[in-house]
Amino acid sequence: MKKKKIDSAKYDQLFRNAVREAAEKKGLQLLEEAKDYDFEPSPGFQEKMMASLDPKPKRKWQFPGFLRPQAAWGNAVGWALIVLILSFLIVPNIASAGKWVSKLLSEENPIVTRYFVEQTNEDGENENVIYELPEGAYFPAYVPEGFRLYQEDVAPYSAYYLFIDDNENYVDVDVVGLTAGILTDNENLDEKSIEIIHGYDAHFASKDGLSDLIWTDNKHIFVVTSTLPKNEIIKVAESLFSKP
Amino acid sequence: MKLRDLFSKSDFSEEDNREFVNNIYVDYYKMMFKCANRFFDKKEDAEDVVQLSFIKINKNLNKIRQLNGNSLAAYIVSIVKNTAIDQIRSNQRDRQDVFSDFDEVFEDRLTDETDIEEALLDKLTETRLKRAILKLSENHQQILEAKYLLDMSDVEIAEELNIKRGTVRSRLSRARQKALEVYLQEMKDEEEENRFS
Repeated sequence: MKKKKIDSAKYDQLFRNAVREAAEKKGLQLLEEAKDYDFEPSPGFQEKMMASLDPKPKRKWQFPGFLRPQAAWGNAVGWALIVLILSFLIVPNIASAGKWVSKLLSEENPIVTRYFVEQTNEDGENENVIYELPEGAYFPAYVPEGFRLYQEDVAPYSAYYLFIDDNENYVDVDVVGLTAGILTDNENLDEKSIEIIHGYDAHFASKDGLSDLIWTDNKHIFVVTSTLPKNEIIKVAESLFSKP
Repeated sequence: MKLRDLFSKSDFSEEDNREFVNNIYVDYYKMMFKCANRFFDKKEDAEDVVQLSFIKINKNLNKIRQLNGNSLAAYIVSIVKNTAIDQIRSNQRDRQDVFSDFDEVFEDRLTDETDIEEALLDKLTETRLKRAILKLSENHQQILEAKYLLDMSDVEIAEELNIKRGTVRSRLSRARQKALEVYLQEMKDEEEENRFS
């Protein structure tokens, strides 16, 4: 028997309309049922929940907005100020730091693996900066020797790290959700290329001694901004690891 | 997704999105907790689920913005249920069989979808189909909502429902098939009633 041809567009449209009508009715009923539901979450839950959604976590310290590298590229005055402010802000702090090495360490037992960051200076002094990374948190397992973790703000699905050394070099690693916007300058770049990081296209751009490497895994946006050479930035990017 | 697409797709500022999500919380938190508390005894577990649900909501803001109040409520409850089940699965892997997709196994025994489509094609009406959809299992309603309410792609649905990409089409097909079955049964029942009245 000859089969009747199904008009899939019409069929889909019919389902689309019916599903929307059904959702309307179901939603109305659910809202009615919940109206008198007597339940209050823990105090502060709403704030905690909203904070966890913040795509750009609040940082303990950061460049003023107009001086952020992403926003200020193309603004020569901004760059001059960045260098000036960096010399004032960073140099006094790292002067006492000596040659720091940041290492990602792990301790394993049959049940859990604990990841933490250890910093050692040239005098052999230890400083554990982050005692334990939250599950899912990203961390660069590699930064060049001499860089000290200066600032961090880590949440399960977003992270910010600023590493500095005593030569005024810095590595800024940012992992944010997809709802965050990242601005980069593309005018008169010294270098622009596409690199592959963990199988994804990463956009590399360099100007006036500062470079950005940006890519996405369709869940996060990763940005490594640094004064380091391209090969070192790529090594940092490739070492970004998510705590299982 | 290309990076440039990702940057250009957001039409709203972070502040707008934050306010929108906050409004969702204020308007729907009771409904969300009512749903989450059905799965858990402890308040903290329900709070975890609501928090994780908001992370999912936050990820799909552009699509969710297109829904109106009641449809949005239905979709949010669907997210909470799915998140709660995922949470229980990850907390108690040994009890996973409780939440196994038993109705998929059952549905494999059903007749071919095309046959039912052919039988009903000229008779389908939205109102009747809506009634049939409301009688479907949560799993089936959820995948139909992802497809037809939020217009999600197969990849997005797979991610949202935590299933393999290959499973999306078959599960969608089964959901439609089941809806048509319910529809057909209702028609038969109605005819029976009319005959004896």
